Amino acid sequence: MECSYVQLDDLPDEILLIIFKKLDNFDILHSFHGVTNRRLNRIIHDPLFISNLNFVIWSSNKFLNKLSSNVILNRFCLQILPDISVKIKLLHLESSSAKNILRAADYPNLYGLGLYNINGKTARRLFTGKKNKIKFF
Amino acid sequence: MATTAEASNTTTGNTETATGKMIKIQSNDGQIFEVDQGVVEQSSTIKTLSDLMDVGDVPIPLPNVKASILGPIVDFCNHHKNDQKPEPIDEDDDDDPNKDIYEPKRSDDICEWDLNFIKQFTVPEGTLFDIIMAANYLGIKTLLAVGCKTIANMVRGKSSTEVREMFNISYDPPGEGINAPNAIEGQAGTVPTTQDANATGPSPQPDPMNQ
Repeated sequence: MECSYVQLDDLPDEILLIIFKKLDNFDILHSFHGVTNRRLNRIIHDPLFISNLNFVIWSSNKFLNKLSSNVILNRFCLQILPDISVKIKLLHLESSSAKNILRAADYPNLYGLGLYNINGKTARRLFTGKKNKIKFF
Repeated sequence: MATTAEASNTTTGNTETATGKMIKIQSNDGQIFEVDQGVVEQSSTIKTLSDLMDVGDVPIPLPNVKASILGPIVDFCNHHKNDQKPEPIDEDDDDDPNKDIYEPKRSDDICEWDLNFIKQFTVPEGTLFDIIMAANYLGIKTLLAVGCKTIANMVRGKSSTEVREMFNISYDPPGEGINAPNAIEGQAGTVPTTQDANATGPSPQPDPMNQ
């Protein structure tokens, strides 16, 4: 077939949005944060993609951590979350990475936090010294 | 001089067949395809043009699509013309209260015929993006969805370095675009509506953390 010179960043924004909407916000940030392309960065910094971050997946009747490797955990904690933390409103975390993620940045606009596979004692320890109302479901 | 490609079993243009009136469409490089109403119905652009214009035997010009892309698109629409019409999909289903937030977004629901169809288009040749752009231009939602899901499947699980290499994404020059001081803060919160044609330039070093 005849070659073309069209690339991903030549696609108009409406098509990029369709593609991004087929991905979880976690995948969008993991795969596109830091690609150093202005248009792509503008789009992924839209609140649509960063205000609600879910690091948990339901599979085989249990909650699993999406941050399956330390490399990905470090990338989120050192680069991605400090960059977008102001815009994060809702976080869903699994116990094994909750502490790292919560300490990676300040989340001044966070109004909802879901903690999974965690017991009450460990959850309270995460918030030692802070005024919080914790509800267990 | 224009050439005519047979996109259906009929041999004469502008004829009434079992599936209705035949319509001619013309690619930007002059090739003419004859399509029936079943194909026309799948493309909002062709349907609108054929409804608005009394085209007669004159082909509808499609200046944004070349023949090497329009041909396979006609094949795609011919294959799907007898499909059951899908329920209207709400594109913005993110606010759906019944949606399970733990359920990963799906893009693995591409049927086998469509998977084989889309395989003939590749990223290195740019033809995968051509077919997506053409589907968008022609208003063929099913083909647009197949193309976008294919890209999403390629991206999922890849680091930004891998994505940058896979799609040959251009860097912004130092001091410009994302590399400009306060670039993110100034841009965040809005999805742009125009394309920046100048977003190319020399390559800074990849981030070692992002492997």
